[in-house]
Amino acid sequence: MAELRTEEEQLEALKRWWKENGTSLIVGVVIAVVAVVGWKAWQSYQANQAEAASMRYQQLLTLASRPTLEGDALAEAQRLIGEISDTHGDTLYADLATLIEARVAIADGDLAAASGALEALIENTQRDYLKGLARLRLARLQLAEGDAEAALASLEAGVPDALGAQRADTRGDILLALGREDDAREAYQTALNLSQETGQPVYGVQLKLDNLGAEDATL
Amino acid sequence: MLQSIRDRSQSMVAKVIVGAVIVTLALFGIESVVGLFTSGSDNIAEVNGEPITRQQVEIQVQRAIRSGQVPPEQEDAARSQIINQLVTQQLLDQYAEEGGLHASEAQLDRLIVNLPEFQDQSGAFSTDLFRNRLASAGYTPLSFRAQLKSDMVRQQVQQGLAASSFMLDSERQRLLELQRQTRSFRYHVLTGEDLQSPVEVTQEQLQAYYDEHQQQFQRPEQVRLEYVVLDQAKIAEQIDVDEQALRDAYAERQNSAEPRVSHIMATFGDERSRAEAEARLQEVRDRLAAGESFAALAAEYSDDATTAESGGDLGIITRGFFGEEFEEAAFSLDQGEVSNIVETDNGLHLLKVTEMNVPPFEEIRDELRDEAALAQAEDEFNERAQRLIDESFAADDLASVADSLGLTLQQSDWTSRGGASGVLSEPGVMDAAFAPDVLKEGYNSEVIELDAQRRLVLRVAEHREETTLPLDEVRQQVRERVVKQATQDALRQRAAQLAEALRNGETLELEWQRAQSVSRQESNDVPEPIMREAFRLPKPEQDDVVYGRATTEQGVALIALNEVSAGKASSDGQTDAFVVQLAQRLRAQAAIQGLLDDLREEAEIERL
Repeated sequence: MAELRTEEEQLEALKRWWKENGTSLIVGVVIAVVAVVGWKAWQSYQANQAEAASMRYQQLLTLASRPTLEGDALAEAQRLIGEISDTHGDTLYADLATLIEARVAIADGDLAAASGALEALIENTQRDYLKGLARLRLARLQLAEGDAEAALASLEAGVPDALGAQRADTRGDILLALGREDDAREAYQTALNLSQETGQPVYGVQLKLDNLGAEDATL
Repeated sequence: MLQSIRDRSQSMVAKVIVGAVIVTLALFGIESVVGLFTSGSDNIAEVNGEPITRQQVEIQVQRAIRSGQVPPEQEDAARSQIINQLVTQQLLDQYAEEGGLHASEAQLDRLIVNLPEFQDQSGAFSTDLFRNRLASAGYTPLSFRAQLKSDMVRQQVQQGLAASSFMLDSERQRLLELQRQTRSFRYHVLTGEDLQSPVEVTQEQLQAYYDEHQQQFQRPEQVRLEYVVLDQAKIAEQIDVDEQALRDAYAERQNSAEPRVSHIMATFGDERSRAEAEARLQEVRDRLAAGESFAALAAEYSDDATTAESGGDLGIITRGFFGEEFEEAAFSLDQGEVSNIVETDNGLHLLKVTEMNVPPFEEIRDELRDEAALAQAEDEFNERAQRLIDESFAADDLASVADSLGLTLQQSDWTSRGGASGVLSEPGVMDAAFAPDVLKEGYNSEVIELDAQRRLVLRVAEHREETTLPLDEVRQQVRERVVKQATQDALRQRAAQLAEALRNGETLELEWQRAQSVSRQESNDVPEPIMREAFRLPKPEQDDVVYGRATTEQGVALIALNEVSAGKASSDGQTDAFVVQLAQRLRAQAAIQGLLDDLREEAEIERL
């Protein structure tokens, strides 16, 4: 670049440069500032929302972790679940709270409400594992209420393999209720094998299996 | 390149971009831009595209070692476990983040303040304790908060799954009924003697069993070893120690041993001059020489009131308390000897050693000899150890080395790597035997330092690979097993015949053992296999009996089950509560583990 000789020429060059580029520079800066400030504001709004959800959820956990749930604690838990579902509907908090809702309803003796909560979760959640877990739990509720057919349907709608041992155990219970003893025995055996493979014991499978009577020991 | 950038930077769009970059840099710092372009080779794994860095892993490994949870030699095992754990955490973190889970600074503050680890004795949060604990665990307050934050959201997921798991009344009832179930049955154990004729087995049966159970007849890789041991104690045995050396050693011991000393003290100063005190003690010496007892004279003469009555006894003395002259005298006396007059700051003393803590010379003569010999053997040992190193390295065999060094060449039996005994089982020996140079090339091993006073060199005389033993060699074992199996088969048939006869109403002379209303959890004297099978039999109808069998140590048990009943709740309800709790906890765990397994299955996990 040619050397600028005098101060005036330098000043002149700066002015010219500013004339050519000034507007776009200002626009760039303004856009960046607006974007950053906007992003920050959005983040802080999100954080506030998330914080509120987290606090409520934490309170709910404290209540739900008690061995028994009744009276004021039960009402409080239900209120918190309602708030979480209403204001933070699309979060994982809402899904977990709905699972807890079923447990709270069972503590309250309302199996129908518990089924309702689980059905709603199966309907609404995008999280496949939780959907499957809810189906497994729903099947147990349906069986307890005497509807083995519906229970079997829930189970067959899809429970993830990660819950295979539990799934087979519940399947055995259902088949037994349907009077299909041999199938039940097979299901329990599957549950036992899976639980041994994964090192995740399922309590009582051996008892249920034994109670059906084993051919190989009989004379 | 630069020119083209300059050309294009004339355009309006480029200027806007440059402006934005400048502002971004100003507001967020250089990391925000640099971070975009540096994906390191320092990553150990990637979980759904997010890295787990080597640094992260090493920090955890070091933390585990420093806290003593992991012994340093298990570092590698711990590392792969930690990587696994970090992958799991990463998966949960991603799941939580995607689900909008969050822990705010305020929540963290509350959590930290309430952690008992950071509370002083009054239960209040202590900043000092907080800093110290963190420092000792290798955290900065910031990194600790970050860790705690992700822990907290992960916990929220896990606790949600656990807290939402339930057990229905009907399920609880069924489980408890099964758990408490009682059964009444009789059993009779049939043994080989109950068979009309002993079982006979054919060659074909032996062959068939052998073919089917090859892995039971494996013999591991084995070696037969030649070895020599150079032992300082052995060299010492041949060394003669002369009497003077023993005396010197004894004197040395005595010198360092701490004697028990009595004294008689005469003070001097205002009341008595030094010469008078000396004369007084001289008088004591004369009376001692005339045969009077030290203890009695101590009582009469000693100015040390605390010891005068107890014969002047000072107890066992240690160097460094009484002054040089006193100690010199005390440590040079033999038992029963009385010293000349010695002076300390307190006055003048006569000392008598009443007890030496060294046994008499004759008693420890052998011990002294061994010690002295071992010490004298050291030079010889070191010299021979060096020769052993040189010669065993140079020689093509071990026998000549043994000859040259006057060692016995020893032979071992066939020995597998883990099956050595005696000196061969000491650390490092079998490892040396199976080192490639020794095993494959047939060289002498390096000199193995068993301990400071023993060296070993070995050589593989013979080596044989792992093999399946031929039937002829293991025929006896095979026969035993086949006979046992055949006997059990015959006994099972016998049991079935007996059951059939009983069902047909025949009366048999059997010695039945009875088990009345036994349950699984209460202990009883029914053998375990019989219990297990008795609880697996189908339930008998009404007055029917169900027959079954169980294989026990002694033979085969015939079981006759007559009753199955639901059983009563345990009197204290504790067992029931325990069962329910356990079942609950397992369900909760399964829900959590299920999520982790599911995430792992769905995830793209790449080990780099």
